[in-house]
Amino acid sequence: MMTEYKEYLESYTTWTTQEYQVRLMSMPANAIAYRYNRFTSVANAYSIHSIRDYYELITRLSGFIDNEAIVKRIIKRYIGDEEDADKLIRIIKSVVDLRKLAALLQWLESQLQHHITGLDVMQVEDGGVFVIVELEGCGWDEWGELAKKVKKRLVEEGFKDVARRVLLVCKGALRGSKS
Amino acid sequence: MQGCAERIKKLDPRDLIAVLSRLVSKHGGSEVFVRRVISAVYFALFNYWSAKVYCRGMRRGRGPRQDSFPYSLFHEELVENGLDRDIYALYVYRVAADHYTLNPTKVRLYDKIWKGKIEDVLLDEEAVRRILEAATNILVYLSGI
Repeated sequence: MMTEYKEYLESYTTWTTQEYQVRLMSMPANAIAYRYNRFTSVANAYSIHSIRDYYELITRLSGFIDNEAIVKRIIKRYIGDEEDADKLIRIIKSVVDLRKLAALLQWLESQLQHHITGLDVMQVEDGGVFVIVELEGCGWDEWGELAKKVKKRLVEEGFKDVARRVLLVCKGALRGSKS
Repeated sequence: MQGCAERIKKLDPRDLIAVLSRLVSKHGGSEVFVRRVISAVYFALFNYWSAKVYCRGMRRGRGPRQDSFPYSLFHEELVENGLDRDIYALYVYRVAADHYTLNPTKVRLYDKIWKGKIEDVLLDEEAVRRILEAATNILVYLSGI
């Protein structure tokens, strides 16, 4: 099984950017969905550990210029049933690179085993917008530790821009228990 | 930069936070007290941060003396350094304290074209305790920059 996954992953990672674009742009939506599902299986089974590993894989899969189908699919998974999902994605895109955000979301779930319950945005009074990643199953104390750990990792891996504009928020922890 | 050390020292909110912590643990507080403590803590930290940023000389603010800084830069710096919980709690409670009448209430963290996330907020002694804990963490970070 692992060999099959490995070959599958390598077939992606050895494609040139142009090949990705041509192949992905010519795919119907359901084929892209299939590729995405295979991608998550591959990423989970293969030794992908860092946020940058996810970012590079997503970048290879989605092409560099205008094919955002896979990235949007990843992001939409976390937005849920929101009817204006595309509108929210446009706002998020104005704040942070979608591929980097998608990589962070995949890493949070697969490596830290945190369940992400939603994505949203908030605006500070002077107009600055931040992306909120809402997590479940962490209390007040764990929230403090988790945010420090994740932001340290983001900065170490060269994603300072994401670290500055994405807020991790533990659902219910403002009023919940201390631990 | 001349006078910077003095400016930073004058805006250091350590004493204020210590006094407020003592008051809260001794007396609890009315809702007016709770609201003003939360608001004061947020702005005291913001002023301290802005003095630090001004004196680092790396960023220039707005205004004739380039000493007016946006809140979002303050938030960005704290969020980048993993103080997500502390600045989020401080901001949500401050918005509730300064702009919402009911208690408990629901605060909407909106974008101008998006409906935004809603947080349930109760302004009470527990909220003040958490805000003071958050403020202490932020102060530790700000002292090191």
